[in-house]
Amino acid sequence: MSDVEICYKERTYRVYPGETVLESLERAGIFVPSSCRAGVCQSCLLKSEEGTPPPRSQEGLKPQLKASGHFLACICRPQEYIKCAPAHTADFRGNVTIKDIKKIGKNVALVRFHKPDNFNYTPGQFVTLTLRGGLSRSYSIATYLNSESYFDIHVRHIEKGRMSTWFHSQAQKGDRLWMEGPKGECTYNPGHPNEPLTLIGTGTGIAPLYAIAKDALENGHSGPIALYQGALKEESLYFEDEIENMAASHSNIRYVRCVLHKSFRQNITYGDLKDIALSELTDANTRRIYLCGDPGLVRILKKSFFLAGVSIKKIHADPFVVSEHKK
Amino acid sequence: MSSLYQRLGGQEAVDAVVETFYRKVLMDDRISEFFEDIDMEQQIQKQKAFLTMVFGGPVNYSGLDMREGHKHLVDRGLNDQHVDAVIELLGTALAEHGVNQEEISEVASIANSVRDDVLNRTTG
Repeated sequence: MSDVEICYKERTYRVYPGETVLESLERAGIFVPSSCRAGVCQSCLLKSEEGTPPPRSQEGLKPQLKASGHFLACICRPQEYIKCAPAHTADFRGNVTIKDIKKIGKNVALVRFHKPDNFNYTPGQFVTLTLRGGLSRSYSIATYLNSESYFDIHVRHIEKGRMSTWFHSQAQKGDRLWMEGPKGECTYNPGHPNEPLTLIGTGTGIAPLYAIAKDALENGHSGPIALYQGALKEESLYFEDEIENMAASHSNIRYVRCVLHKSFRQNITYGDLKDIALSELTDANTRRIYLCGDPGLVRILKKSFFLAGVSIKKIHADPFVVSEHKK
Repeated sequence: MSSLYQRLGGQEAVDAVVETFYRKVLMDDRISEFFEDIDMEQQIQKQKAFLTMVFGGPVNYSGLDMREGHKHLVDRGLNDQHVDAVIELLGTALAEHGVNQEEISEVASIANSVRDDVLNRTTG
């Protein structure tokens, strides 16, 4: 056996026979986080951008991570050239142009972008957008057909939020933004068409969940799909027609609107979103869960569903953090 | 003799034990506070790695790893009673997965062997 070359952050390193990617990088003085060094703790996760990592180095990873080329450096003995990057490095880095903007709910704008030819996403993923001047935020993709010539995001106007204020008051058709993406593992898991799914979102968290549900249907998913849209007040609900249309044409979709503060609409369930969703939980040991939106709620729901018996491997969470560099 | 890791059924079985064990930890008032505010997935991966080692699987942690990994918890008051509780819950989880008492005692004694490192004290 002879040496293999790998590339990491634009530099080339030699991997001796029997050596792992982690050992090779460490020998060159490159720091990569690691802990168990046996392919279990996943601290040393890297992503391959070119070349195929050996299957053994992807064992135990979520299917979404495998599909995006992630592997464990501590057990990766490469057989061929691999160009690797830190975990979760985005495939696309470049400019995108706004195609259209329209208001679709109280405080929510739909922003449509021309989709660059070399940008491909899986429904449920998100992108990080940066304005000239460096202001940066992440937004989930609201569309579900990668084949279309555009993609959408939903932007809720947050008081004093600089980026959302820009989208709501200044952004115009033709404006260009820097984009990195796609990111995230909150996506449909193909190959299990009968699996029961629960999707729970608050605010614009409903956008990626709608995309995941649509993607599931496109993939022929036949198991039950429960989609919960949570809000404090009923006027914060939006995008209801689209979800209702989807539910009306697919009998396996159940659409539940949960609102905390009582009002008089007929088709709304009143009460605590967590309590309602948990009280309706069945088949905990086979169910897959998707959570998007308010980070506090996502965290509580993740823990609650885990304690209720759902495997952590089947809980996909995408907390929408409101801060400088995250969503 | 085969290791408990092999007898349990390898990595998949360890994963199942870890989830049962972690549920117990999160629901136990004696120790749950040490597991608040941390990423559940990362925590579970670390527990999988540690228990893989305890069960005689292909992982080796050094005492130094154990010390560094728990130092911040010792600063927050982690003590012998908490370690006792963790080992007790591990035993309960193993019992639920059909492991016999003799093997549970064996696991407890291996887990006990890292107690001083976890609590960041010199071996007496």
